[in-house]
Amino acid sequence: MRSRSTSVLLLPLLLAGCACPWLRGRQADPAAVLRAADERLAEMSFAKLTSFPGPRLFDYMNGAAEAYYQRGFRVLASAETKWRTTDARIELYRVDTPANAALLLDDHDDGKGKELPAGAGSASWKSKELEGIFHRQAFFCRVIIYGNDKEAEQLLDALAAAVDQSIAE
Amino acid sequence: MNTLDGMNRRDFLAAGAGAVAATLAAGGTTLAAPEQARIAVARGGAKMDPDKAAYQRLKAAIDKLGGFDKLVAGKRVLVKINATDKSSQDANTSPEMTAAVLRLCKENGPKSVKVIGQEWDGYDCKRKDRPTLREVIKKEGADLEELIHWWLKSTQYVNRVPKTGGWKQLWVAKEIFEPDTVLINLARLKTHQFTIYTGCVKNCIGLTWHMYAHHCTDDRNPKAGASDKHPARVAGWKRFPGKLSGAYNDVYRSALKLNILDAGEPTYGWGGPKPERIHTFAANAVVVGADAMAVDGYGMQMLHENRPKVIPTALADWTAGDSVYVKSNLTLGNYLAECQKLGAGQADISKVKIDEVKID
Repeated sequence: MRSRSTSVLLLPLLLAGCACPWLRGRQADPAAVLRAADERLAEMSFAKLTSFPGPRLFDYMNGAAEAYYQRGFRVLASAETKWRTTDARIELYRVDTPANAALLLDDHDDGKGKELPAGAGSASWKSKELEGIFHRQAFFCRVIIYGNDKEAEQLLDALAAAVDQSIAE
Repeated sequence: MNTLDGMNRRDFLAAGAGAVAATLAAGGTTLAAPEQARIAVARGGAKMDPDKAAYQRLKAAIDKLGGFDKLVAGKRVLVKINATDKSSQDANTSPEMTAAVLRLCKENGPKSVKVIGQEWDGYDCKRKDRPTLREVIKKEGADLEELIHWWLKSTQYVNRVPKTGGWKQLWVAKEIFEPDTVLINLARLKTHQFTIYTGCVKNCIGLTWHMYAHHCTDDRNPKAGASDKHPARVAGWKRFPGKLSGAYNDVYRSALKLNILDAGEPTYGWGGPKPERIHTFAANAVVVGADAMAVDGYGMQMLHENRPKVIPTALADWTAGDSVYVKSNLTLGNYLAECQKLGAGQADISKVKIDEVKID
């Protein structure tokens, strides 16, 4: 059931991806990646898209920023969205190397999560909220879904896939 | 509302809120420390609506300590919550306990009620079918003052240099020292990836400007505070127990009139340490007292009893053992134990008078 509903949500995403070759080459800028992901997702739109370069990561988070600086943090883009009744937050971090992006995933991964349909490596957890993380190239992505029902699961898969596909190969 | 009937003056002064009222009556100068630290712990309400349960727990605990009206009537009430995390409400003071505190204040005739602190957008952190902190603050008719972040200039702070801890500067929200002001400290019971534990004592850091100065050798330089590679920062974590205990004992403690530990759902794993991930357990409790050390001592005990092999007790050696929290303790010490050495309160709960009440 999840896969069928998710397919419906992902279909315009996939079609849009096929029709958007100009998305390539934006990989240096996570905000551009999120804008591209937003374009892929026909049923929702991103809001409050904001970039936090370098030391401005402290604008976004408190002491937790240290974990990102230790992994070669360069810039964060964050956005919020909503699909049907479910809110979500997307954080896309670009670090200095793909290896550090993979290490960030390892930092956050307790080994008990489920894989996402996104990234070179991924994990997701279900609690009061859903949280998914993945890495691709020099990007580390964290998606928080404010819900834990089937709708939330579909949204997590769709957002992760949209962001992943928008990170230009 | 006031439950002072039947209590003599000695009993009242021994009670946290009573001592607080006496302090306030003297214009902010402490008349006499309570002979024995006293806290009230209210439990129950697991099957109730969470908002109703939080309110009833809080009211029951406050009533045990002598009621709220002497504390807040006619006063400017400031409430320091923990709203540090924008992605999970489990990392912040809960909306239900925040609402309960603000409502109980409002019911007791304060001049004003304001939430204050340097936070990181936790006010807007979402949860499905639940309000945000900002929404409950507005709904309860309280004001909100977001203190300016430490890399920006501000006139909201005043320099109060602690005598101990090696401080050169400590800029603290000046409003908390103003006459007729009552500061209520409302912290979430949770672990911390670098300091093991965070509750009422550590929550005071959010009332300061350069909050990272608590674990930095440079009290003023934002560049040092913001960089994990800056020598002043690298060397700073080891000074955290000494600096926080000095700041707490010499500066924050006198301003705090009541400490409330939100233990409805205590939180583990906020920010790590790996492999810990953020999660909670249902305790359905609130801990209240004038002595933040006693409140934290009890909170730490709750965590220890829940996971005895993982979380040490309040005054234990926080560097001993193989717990992941101990191994990640960058401070290489125990800030509660340092507070205890300074006589800043009583975190040894065997020496604390504990009034327990159930609401079910």
